[in-house]
Order: sequence, then structure tokens, then C-alpha cells
Amino acid sequence: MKKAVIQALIVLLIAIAPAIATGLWHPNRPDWSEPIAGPGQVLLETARDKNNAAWRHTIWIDTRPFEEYRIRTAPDAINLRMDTWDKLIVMVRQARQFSDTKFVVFGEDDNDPNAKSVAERLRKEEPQLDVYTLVRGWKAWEKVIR
Amino acid sequence: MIRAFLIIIRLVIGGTFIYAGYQKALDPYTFSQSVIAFKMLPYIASVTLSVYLPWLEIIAGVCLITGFLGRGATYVLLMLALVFVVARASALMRGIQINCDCFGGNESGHDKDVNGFMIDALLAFALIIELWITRLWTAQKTQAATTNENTAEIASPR
Repeated sequence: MKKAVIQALIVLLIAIAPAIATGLWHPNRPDWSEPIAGPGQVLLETARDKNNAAWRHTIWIDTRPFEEYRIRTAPDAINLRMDTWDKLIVMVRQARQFSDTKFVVFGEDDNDPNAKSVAERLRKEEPQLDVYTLVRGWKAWEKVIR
Repeated sequence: MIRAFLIIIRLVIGGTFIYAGYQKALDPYTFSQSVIAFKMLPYIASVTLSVYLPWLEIIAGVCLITGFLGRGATYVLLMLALVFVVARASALMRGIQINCDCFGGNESGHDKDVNGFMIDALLAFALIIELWITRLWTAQKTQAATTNENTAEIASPR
């Protein structure tokens, strides 16, 4: 029994080395710092949480350039930017099928000015919509969509 | 006969853990989200576990198949399987749907969670059987060796 315990400890120790390497250098490594959503912001995990009834109806609004949107985006996302606002805002209004529908705006990352502008304009011009910005923006999505 | 059965059972269990670990190690971010979703540990502990567990499964699986540190690897895998069973049962009881990528893919759903629970329980059971058979086989070998020694002593008295 003692021999088995020592062997088990060795196995447990061996696994530490590749785990450290994964945590430090894997291209798709997890975030070590816990992402926190401020007011008007939402975490991707919250917005996609199937156990959370409040987030059952979510519409994604991608504010990145159309070329990037066309390559990859969130499921059923609408590409709304300031320069295409007049053409596409109708689509955003139509997407609101339920009273509890939430709109999550995302740009390239947290500092993308397009996402902030679009979210602010949506809140101002469409006060009936429940608008949030996505913490880490597309960078958060990029890790779950491949 | 017992030896052949042992080899097969080790191949199946070890192979299953290696495959499951490999799938998780390929995509540690998605697996970390699954571990966080269990809501059983603080954030940093969940993330640490999500990078450590896949490698532990792979290494212990390889050890079980090759026999190098095999006994210890069996205990590690049994402990892992039991932890998975408890975690899944706890999530199912709390009504939490886990988007677990334990065997690759990221589909979710209650049925998938129940299937995952069954697989983990089956693995735990198979590992207990493996331990029992190993003990039986070792006892048989020891008995056979003792019998041979005694026979040799009787055949050639000093």
C-alpha cells in the first residue's frame, strides 16, 4: 500500500510540469485573472449561461469592420457600426422578439471605441432596449469559437 | 487468462483517460469554463484544476497501460473518477447544466450530463475491478512461486 501511495504521488507530481507549461504558453490557455463585469457590462459566460433564465434571449451586436465580421462572428450576430447605423438599426429593432431580450455589443476588445459608441447610441436612441457591452469583446468570443 | 483480461481492462480504461485528457488539453480555455460552471471551487482553483487535470489523466492513463508506476496510477485514476462522479452528481442535483468537454465537443444538455455521470461511474467501477483482479493475480503468482520453491526444496534436499 505504501508503495502504491508513493507511486501515486510521483504520478501527481509528473503531471505538474506539462500543466504549468499549458497554463503559461498554450495559445488557448484560460484567463488567470477573474474577469469582472462593471455596470452595463456582461461576461461572455453569463450571457451564454444556459442555466440563467435572464439571458435566454440574447442578441449579439458586432461592431468590428464588416470584413472581420464576415470571416467570423458570434452566432447570429448583427454587424452594426456607426457608419451603417441607418441601414441596420431596423434589423436590431426587429430582432427584439421578447420583452426580456438583451443586446450585447462587442468590438475588438474592452478598449474598442466603436463598441462603446454603438452601445451608448443604442441606449440613447433606443431606450426600450436592454443594452450591455461584452467584457473583453471579440477576444472573449475568439476563445470559444474556432 | 487473468493476465489477458488485466491487459484488456487496462488498455480500455487507460485509453479512455488518455483520450479524454487529450481532448481537454487541446482546449484548456473551454475546459476551464466547464470546471468554473460546476461552481464548486473558487475561480483560481477551477482554472488551476482545468490545466492540471487533463495532463494527470494522460500521464496516469499512460502509466496504467505501460505498467510503469501502474499501481499508483490506478489509485490516481480511481480518485479522479470518484471526484468526477461526485462533482457531476452535485451539479445534476443542483440543476446546473454543465457544458463539459470531457470527451471533446462542446454540446450540452441534461442527457449529456447524465451520460457523462454514467461513464464516470462506469470508469470508477472498472478501476475497482482492475484493482481486485490485480490483487487476485498477484496472490496467484505469489502462491505459484511459493509452491515451486517448496517443490524444488523437496526434489533436491540439501
